[in-house]
Amino acid sequence: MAIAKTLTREANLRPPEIRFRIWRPGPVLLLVPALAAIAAVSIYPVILGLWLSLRDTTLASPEDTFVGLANYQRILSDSQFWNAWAHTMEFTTASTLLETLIGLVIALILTERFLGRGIVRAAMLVPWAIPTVVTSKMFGWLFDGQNGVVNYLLRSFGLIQHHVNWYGSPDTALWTIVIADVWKTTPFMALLLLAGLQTIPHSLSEAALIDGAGPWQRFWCVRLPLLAPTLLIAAMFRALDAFRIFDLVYVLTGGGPADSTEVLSTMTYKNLFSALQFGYGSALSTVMFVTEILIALGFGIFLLQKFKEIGQ
Amino acid sequence: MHKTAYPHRKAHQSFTPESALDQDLRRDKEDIRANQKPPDGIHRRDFIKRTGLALAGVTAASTLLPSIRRGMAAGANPTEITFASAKFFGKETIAEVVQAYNSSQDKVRVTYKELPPPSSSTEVHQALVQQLARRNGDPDVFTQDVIWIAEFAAAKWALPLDEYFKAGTMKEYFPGVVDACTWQGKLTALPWFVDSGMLYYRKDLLEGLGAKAPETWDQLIDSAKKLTSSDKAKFGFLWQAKQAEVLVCDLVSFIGSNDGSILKSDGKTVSIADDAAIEAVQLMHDFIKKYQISPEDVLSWDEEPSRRPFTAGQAAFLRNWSYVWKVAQNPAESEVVDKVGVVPLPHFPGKKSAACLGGYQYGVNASTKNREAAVEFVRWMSSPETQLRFATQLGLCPTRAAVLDQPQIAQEQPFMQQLKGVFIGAIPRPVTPKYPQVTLVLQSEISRALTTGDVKGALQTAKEKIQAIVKA
Amino acid sequence: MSATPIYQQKPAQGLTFPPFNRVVIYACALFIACWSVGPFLWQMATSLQLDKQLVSGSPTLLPNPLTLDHFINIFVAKSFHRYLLNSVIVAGTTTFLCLLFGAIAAFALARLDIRGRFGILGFVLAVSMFPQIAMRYCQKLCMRSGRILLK
Repeated sequence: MAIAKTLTREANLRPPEIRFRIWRPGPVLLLVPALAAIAAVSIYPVILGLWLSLRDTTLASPEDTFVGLANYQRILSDSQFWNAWAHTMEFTTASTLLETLIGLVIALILTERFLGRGIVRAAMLVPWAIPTVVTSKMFGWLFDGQNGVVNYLLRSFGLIQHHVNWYGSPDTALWTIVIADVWKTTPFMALLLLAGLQTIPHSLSEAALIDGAGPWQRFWCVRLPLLAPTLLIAAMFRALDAFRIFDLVYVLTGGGPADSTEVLSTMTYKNLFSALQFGYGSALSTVMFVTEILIALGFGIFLLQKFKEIGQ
Repeated sequence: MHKTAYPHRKAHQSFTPESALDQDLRRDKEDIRANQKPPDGIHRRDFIKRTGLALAGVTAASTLLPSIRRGMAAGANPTEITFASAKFFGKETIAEVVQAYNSSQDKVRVTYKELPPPSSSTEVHQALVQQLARRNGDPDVFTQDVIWIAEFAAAKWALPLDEYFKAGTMKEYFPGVVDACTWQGKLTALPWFVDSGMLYYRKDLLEGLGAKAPETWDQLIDSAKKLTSSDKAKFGFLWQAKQAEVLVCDLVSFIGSNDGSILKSDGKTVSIADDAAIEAVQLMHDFIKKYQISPEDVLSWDEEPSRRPFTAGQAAFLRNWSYVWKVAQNPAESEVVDKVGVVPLPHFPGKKSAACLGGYQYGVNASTKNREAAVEFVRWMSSPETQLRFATQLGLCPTRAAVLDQPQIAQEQPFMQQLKGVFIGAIPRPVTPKYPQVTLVLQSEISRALTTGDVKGALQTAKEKIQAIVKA
Repeated sequence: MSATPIYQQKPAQGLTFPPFNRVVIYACALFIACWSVGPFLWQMATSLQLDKQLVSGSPTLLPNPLTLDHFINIFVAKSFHRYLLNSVIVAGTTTFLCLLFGAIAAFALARLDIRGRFGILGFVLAVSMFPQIAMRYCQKLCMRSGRILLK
């Protein structure tokens, strides 16, 4: 305690110019392992990807010439790209919205005390614990057009007349994937929102109760505004992850009947690893990267505004 | 001159008197620093010294050990080569066959590298391409799917084998397979095994109808409709239309049965928008939508999901590979044991039956440093005895006509002998080094044609895209 | 209005709800549990079924006859335990390393005065946004060239 006090005092005793002019070796050394790991695994591949996107490298032939922005021009005029981009945006929006809403409801229910709350909390985490590939195969079997249990249950309850061809039909295939993703990732959102809800002081809701607020008003005017930063951060992470969805789509439909579930990641994968077009594939990944940064910036600006509001 | 009361301050710093509290705190800190003992009795410097020595020792050992091992191995002289193959198994594994080769002679020692099974053919392709692209001679021998032969040959990763296997030797194999192993006149692959699509049908249901196995598509549609309308079968004709490689296999069978083609033999003329092809794809669409003998689910089915209803006794006809026979005769998995017959796929009136050629073949790495040893190994693997072994132990159909006629095969795999006609008539998928891109276009457009019904438009788009790919 | 002043009353457990809302909460909790665990239970039931029963048209949660053939198949014929062990090793090692490096870095960024803290944090987040799939090939290239350097 005394040492900590002394260290801070010592830091404050130095004139301001010296404090910021020198990067003290201690703290920077603490950053080195993390930054080195990231540099080794991410930085060089990212730069290599950017560099490759300016060339027309293919693995199968020895040609490898600099083509400038030709790959990007090809992307802009490629109807398959825009098709995949539209599906990715649809999927990201639908999945993030649904998961945030359902996660919020689950978190609200789990903050209440009731018998068996611990069991429900544990059960809620089961979908998240199952690997994505296993989830894809599982939903493939659940939604099977002929023998799937979903069709069986829907028919037993009289909700549909004939079996629905869930992922063999271009109209329903993307929704099957959205449902599978919502099932798998809602626990993540619910957990984050639950943690956020529990940081809101109980006394605020009680004060509102005393003032005569009903349950909906307590939620909407008291808890939700305080939950907003957590909500936005969780939604941002979820949106960024949903944008990069790959294994769920690839294993379940492989791009789907008539390209109806083709997303940017599967298209990039097919171009990179099946068609071995490293130039074009790297340009696709760069475009994905830029779009994600834009999404993150959008959320970030919104978040900063929210923080300012709360600070006031 | 300030005395050393404040040694930590530099001369130019402004002087603010230090309060008594601060002085005490500073002196306490200095005392603690001076007396700090390292915990656990190990001094930091000693620890660093010991770890450094240990690391140095380990590095030295790891650099010396391989050379020691090489010195010991130098006593024995066999040439070491590596063999990378997709994973197959049956009563035996490929590793055991390779082991048999190693024990049968001592000039060549083969190390077997296992790749993923052929059901993950994209992963096998990737693994092979990444190894071959390095051009460092590893692996010396590999196995390549029939559709990659042109690609590997054009990229000069596969060694031309014409000087080791002359025309006389090659006559012992099925001509269709030898054609598939040749690229631009040079033999770049040695045949291993073949597989092709065929028509499975329910013998009992057709006998009940009084019909025989269909030879034309019209006969098949007729029988299927009769069986489904009288509720003897839930589905008429099952095949695979998932947007995956298997769709191109089915496509080749249908188009070939109308004497059409996707890419002409010069590798540059695209014929997928010709009338024969349009008629064939229209038939594929009509199976689902017009005649309704195939359920809509075939649009998302590949081999296994389409096989299951057939072996459960719910379908009358199935187009699939040769592995279904074994599954259909297994009582634990099939309800139709002894009720299944096999014939070549039907064709359009006046044309011939066409089956899509599949199967893996051997290739020798063009950059291999042990050419003679690699060729010797491949010659042994492709010999009649080894092909017989593969047939009886792993169920892989031989590519030598003579081997297929052997009595052992009649005993253990009688089904294979029935299929001689099917295998001889197998046709390959489009032969071009750009096949990986062509197949993606085909999968996408044909799936679109089958779901939207716009056959002409989809095939025209496919033609333009494929032309752009093969001309480049 | 109760007799005891409000500051002497015990704080409400959860918030006081009329009985109807308790029923709603229990119903929702039950639904959440079924929704989360249901597909997994179904998959377990499928793993205990014979193959040919899968297409029999009448799905049931308790298959009859039960069979352990599939489990025997994966553990005896396909050595699934080796893959499980690999997963445990990979998961354990990456968790440990991430926690180690991350905790140290987080402490440094949060508590110690480092110039350009938010820049470094933003940079780390940005790098994590590059599509994983695309990085695979580049990472393989790096590992290959690294191995050549070490030889």
